[in-house]
Amino acid sequence: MKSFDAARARALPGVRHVVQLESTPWTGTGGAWGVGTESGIAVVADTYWQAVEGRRALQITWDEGANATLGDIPGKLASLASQAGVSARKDGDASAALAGAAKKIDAVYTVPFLHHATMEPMNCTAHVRADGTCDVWGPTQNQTRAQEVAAEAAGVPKEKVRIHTTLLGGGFGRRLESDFVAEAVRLSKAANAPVKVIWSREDDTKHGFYRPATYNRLRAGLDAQNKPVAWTHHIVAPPILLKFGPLQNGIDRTLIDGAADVPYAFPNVFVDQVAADLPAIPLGFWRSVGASQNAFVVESFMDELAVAAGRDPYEFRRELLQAKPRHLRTLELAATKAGWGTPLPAGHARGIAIAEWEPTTCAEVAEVSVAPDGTVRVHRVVCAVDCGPVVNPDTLEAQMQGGVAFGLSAALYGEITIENGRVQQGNFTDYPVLIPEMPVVEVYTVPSTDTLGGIGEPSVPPTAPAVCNAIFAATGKRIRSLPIGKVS
Amino acid sequence: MPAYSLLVNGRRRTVDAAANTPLLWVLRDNLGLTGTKFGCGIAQCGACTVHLGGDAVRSCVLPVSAVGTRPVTTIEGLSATSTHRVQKAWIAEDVPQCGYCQSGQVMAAAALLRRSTTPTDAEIDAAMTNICRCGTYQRIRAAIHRAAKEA
Repeated sequence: MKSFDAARARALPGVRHVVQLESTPWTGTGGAWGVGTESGIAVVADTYWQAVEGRRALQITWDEGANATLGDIPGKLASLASQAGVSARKDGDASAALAGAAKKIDAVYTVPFLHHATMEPMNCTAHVRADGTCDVWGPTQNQTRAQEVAAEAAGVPKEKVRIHTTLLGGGFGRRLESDFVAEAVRLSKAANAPVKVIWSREDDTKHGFYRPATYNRLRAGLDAQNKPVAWTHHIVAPPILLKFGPLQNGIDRTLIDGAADVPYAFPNVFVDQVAADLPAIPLGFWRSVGASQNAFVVESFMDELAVAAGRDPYEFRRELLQAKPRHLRTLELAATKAGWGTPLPAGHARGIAIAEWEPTTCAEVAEVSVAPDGTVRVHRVVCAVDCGPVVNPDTLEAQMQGGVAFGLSAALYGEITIENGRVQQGNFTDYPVLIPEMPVVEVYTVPSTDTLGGIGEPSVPPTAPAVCNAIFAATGKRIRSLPIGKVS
Repeated sequence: MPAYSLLVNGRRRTVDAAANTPLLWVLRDNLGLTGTKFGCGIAQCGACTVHLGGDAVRSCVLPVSAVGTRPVTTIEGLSATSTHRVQKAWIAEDVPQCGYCQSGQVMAAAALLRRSTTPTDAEIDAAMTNICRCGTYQRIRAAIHRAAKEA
């Protein structure tokens, strides 16, 4: 902060306080999850609009700080790709098998940072009282941490903090964080009154905890009979888990979910991870976490392998999933219900993908067309899921449809970019999510007594690769970088 | 601060607010009608949809000074008994997930059905530009068709 004009704001109707918050280090016991006790200025007023007017009057000049030039994260990740990673899976000798392969396939896949963009912007109400008690009303996915953060911010024992969980206008992982709780508590303390904090959409978009951007180098080899002999996946990404302290064995398990456990029967596999330390960028858990990017990478490259082998992408996968019954039956159900291999209207094509959100498996077949101007239209998504015994079929269908919508928004449009230390997007105008492009999503459940699994996340990961594989089938254009945007 | 006389959900209300205060914040902060939600502040998402003179408007960009004599209906006033045919269809189709956008969706759907008695999917897509981050669009379409049949 270089300067601001508190007096100008205070002169406005309804404005009660102008509070400058200094950045405070987390000193609690639970690691660094308390990040978000950031510096900033708050205007406390009788109504939200008066606070907004007060904020406009502040005329803030920011000190851009140590990260003023931070940018080009994709370039930074690519530049780290020559480093050897920490091994996440090693079966056999993949490099020797690659060297001896009859056919080699090699590709780079990248994904961007993503924002949760919950419909309800971050908000929280807190009341820190003179008697040392503190009440917090907020939409949190993480009451335990919210209580710890509130206690630290209020300077009271956590037994004195009561968390009242309000309805959540979407969470998707964003509300696991407690930064907005800390703000409300600090401001209540400063104002000596109950304070409700409401972020603008722009605050929300620019101060997220983003799904990491990743860089992926993949290599695979086929023998003379077009059987896969080797698969390698080299991941470069900023680890989410660094905020909790040093990585265990140098690995962030969230970054290898859906990659190290590639389910296909490859005789030689090597997956490794380079941890890119970009501490200035807040990272978080985004619906389906690491599988959200790794399913796109693995299942798209798997399609490349099928093409190189001259095989049908469904039959190729099927053959390599014989030892994975849960995957196999889920894939088969999706293909059958989608009418895999049956004729489609001119210009339409299908793509298939499968992913595991342990232990739930989900396979999707997307039917797409691409307009002459490159606009992608997804007409239908057939989604098959094996989550074990189904408790509530109606909720299951709704969650699977919602996950496909979430995955589609990200695949088609989702991208947070950082230049000059700032997030460049701010609202639904530059961080769009889908509305009328929502395709028909048919949901089918594998009758299963297998291990019970979740249904909130599993339909997100297969969506991007199913769509991108369909785009390839329709146009011959392979999408190796998200978002898809327009297909050129 | 100027005083405005508004007809909200059939009741005459007087509020003191700056002329540029969006109707959304008058409804929420001055009148305590919190069923109408804040999503984006720039009329992109539709969470703040209310009826103004029977038409769907995005209240986050409508200054209170522009309301005039037109009656305002919010989700609280759509039906005294929460039994508007759109609300009944919404329950029958089990549309909401998190629910945050749903009051805006319901208000937009009710306004659509007043203009078009049996909208096609294409008409629904054209009229229903409200964002639902949970992705309930498919059930929204089904609920609008159901409500249209019950007219």
